[in-house]
Amino acid sequence: MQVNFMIKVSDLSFSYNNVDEALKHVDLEISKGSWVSILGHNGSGKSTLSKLLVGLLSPSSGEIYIDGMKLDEAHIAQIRKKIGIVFQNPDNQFVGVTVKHDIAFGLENQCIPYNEMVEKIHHYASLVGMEELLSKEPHQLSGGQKQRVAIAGALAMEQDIMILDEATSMLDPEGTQEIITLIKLLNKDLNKTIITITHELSFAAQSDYLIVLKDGEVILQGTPKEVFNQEDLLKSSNLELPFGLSLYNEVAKDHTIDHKVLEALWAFNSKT
Amino acid sequence: MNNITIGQFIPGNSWLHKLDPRIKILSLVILLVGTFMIPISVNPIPLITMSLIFVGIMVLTASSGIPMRKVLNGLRPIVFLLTFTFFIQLFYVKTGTLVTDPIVMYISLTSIAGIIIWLIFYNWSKKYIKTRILYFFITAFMVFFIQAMLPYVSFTSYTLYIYDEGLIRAGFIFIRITNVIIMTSLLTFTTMTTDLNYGIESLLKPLKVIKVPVDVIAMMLSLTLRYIPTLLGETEKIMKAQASRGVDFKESKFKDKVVQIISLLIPVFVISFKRAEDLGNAMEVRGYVIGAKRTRIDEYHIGFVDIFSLIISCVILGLIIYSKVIS
Amino acid sequence: MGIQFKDVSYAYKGLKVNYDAIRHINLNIKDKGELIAIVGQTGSGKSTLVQHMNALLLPSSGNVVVFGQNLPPKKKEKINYLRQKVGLVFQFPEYQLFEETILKDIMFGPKNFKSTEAEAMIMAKKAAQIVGIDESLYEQSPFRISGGQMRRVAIAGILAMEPEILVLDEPTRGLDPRGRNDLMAIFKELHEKDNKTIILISHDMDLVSEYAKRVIVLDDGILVFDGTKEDLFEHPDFESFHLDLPTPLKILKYLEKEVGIPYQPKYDFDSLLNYLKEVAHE
Repeated sequence: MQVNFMIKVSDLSFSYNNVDEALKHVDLEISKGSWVSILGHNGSGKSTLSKLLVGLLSPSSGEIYIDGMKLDEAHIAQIRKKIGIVFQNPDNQFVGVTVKHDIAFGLENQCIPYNEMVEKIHHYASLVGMEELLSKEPHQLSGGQKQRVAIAGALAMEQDIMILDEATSMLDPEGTQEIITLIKLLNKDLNKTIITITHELSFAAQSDYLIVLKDGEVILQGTPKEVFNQEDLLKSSNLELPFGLSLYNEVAKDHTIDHKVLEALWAFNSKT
Repeated sequence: MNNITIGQFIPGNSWLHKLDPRIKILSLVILLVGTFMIPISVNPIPLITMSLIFVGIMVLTASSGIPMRKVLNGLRPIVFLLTFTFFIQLFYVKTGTLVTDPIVMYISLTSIAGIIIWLIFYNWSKKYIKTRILYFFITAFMVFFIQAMLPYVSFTSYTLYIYDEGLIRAGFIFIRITNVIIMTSLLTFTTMTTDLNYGIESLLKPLKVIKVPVDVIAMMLSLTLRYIPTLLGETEKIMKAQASRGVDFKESKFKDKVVQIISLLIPVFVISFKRAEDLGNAMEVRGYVIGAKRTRIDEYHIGFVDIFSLIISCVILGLIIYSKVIS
Repeated sequence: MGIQFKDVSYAYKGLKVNYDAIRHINLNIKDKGELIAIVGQTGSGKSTLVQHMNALLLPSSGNVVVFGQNLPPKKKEKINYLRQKVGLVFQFPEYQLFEETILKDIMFGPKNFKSTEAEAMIMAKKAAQIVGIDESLYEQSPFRISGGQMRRVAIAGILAMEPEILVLDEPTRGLDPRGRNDLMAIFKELHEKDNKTIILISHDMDLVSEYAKRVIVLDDGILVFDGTKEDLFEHPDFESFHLDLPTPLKILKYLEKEVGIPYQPKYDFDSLLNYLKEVAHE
């Protein structure tokens, strides 16, 4: 039964122009309410995967099931109500002339009546902390603020799954922190299923489950602890452990060091 | 962040600000049509009508709370056109009765020198003058005045005839252009770009009947408005980046300038194409289907003031058509 | 020589009010041997400051002297040549690429500064080598390579001009960790081999702590600190600078709080590891 998993991907392959194999026989399962990070070097296929999951691309072979429903032409409209995505470039997904108009965009497309729209916009703008800025135009906002608006727009569609495709890559540390805080809120308080696609392991360290892609294949998956233990495998896929995690691994190898220190180091890495 | 806002909107609370944008645009169109329907003729009545319209526009401006200076500054871009047209009409119309004796204009050593000296003075002193538009007119007038007053060491001369019909025509066209510009400026000063967008979209809706893709055009318009400030900001960044590589319009030769412009244009195009692709994806994922039915977050209500304004505009147009018909 | 700021302020003209981006900045930068990081919150004036270094912006008040050239310049004085002496690389510099081939694009800068075609090609090839762009890519379109490679081509475009001082605005922004390390290694080598003065704007305190010798901190347009990185991170008023600590120090402070290990500043991996081995036995 597919309904146990929020997302089930079976033997998924995709080639651009039937030549470059971007994804090769990928199998994955993502459970409801979890926060999964998909890690990989540039060109590992992670962006292709996210586009396939939201139906922007069609698989060359294999199947995708979203909340039990098969992702295909016939079901695409319904699937779009279940899964949303925030892309990397804050300016290239901000459609509306003002914050209010942008959050409304998805709702307008769904023909939500006016009064309901107004209510939802205020509710979700508040949730992401943008309710004071509803009449601002995008060029008056920071990158972090624009991404928060994108998230509000996705939330307003009340989809259960949200993909954040390198959503913080173009932001400064402040903006990145704003988004991480929001993600935690969405996952813990609103029980959304969150998929973050990133190359920052420090970001991924805070999620529940990691999937590592290399050259279109899944080479590693597991909890952050399990995955970060495989430092060599990660290095071979061009992923470098950040300072804190590398230190953790080294300290873990050295048995002369107090294990309380080791635990504290792990706590440090997963708290940011 | 930039201080640019899209358009020239100046916030305010006047009745003009509060008018429904559809009514405002419709009224503007009606009044513009009326203004152009007033015939240019030597009969003083059209001139009076046009002047009355000018007075009416001044009253509108005063009631809108928009500073008069800002509105008149809207004429700056066309100051040259206004002056040129005025003088052409003045000197080329040779019907009617002469207003003054024929004026002899001398192109002489002294008059040319005089003009050059005046123009240098104008160029240097204009930054100290507040009423630039008026100053420009004065300068244009001085060019002729000098030619009339300095005949010494003359190479050649010509004669200017000022007829009353020329004066009337020149004045008429001058006021007409001014009216059109100010009316349109009042619209953009008192209407937010989002409202203008909505107004244009609504008014174009009837074209759906003849299969014009109004929704698509409206979305394109809306996206264009949204991206103008962003693009301007990006263009500025690219200009700075290329300037850091030696691009300098002030200090370079002409043939270099061509490559330099390309170095600005290509990155802007590349950014825009990537943007188009990303935007298309984002809109698709958010459920946008071209041509499909959508609700709108903007709601506008037509009130008593709106209907009244529209009626007045129609009445004015009606009167103009009526007066045309009976004459 | 070098760059001197004397009581420099710059105000952007807003709609109704002018906005002071930097105020009363006094600064001396030598033309050789410096590796400076400029840090501060978003909006603190860092970008505005560095744009004065190659005369892209001229001070509203005060004077900047760049390699002996006084700014603002006297009327009719040419200042474009300064942009060859002080090479400025903006954020996301890959957006500046436009030529048909990668080599041509790198040659653009030198050619604007009166190098001949042949000279420019030599300079361009040298720069391409420094950033690690292989010969096989020279005739490729700059738009057909990866984002990381595009960034290197853009940086090569500035290096090819052979500037005496290199200024980089967040050169590693948007790059993955491997890309960041590779790029910083290039700058480090440039600095060590040619004793070039390199100035970096960065938000990444780890990068600052690893590479910078001197740190300049801006807060709301004012210069609040100018000294070594050790002095910065151990400064009693550090909180008031609104900066993050680099990760090694964050870890040490955390360990002090949670397990009582006495805080001693350590800035790199090995010294931190050794310290822990010393003091944190079972």
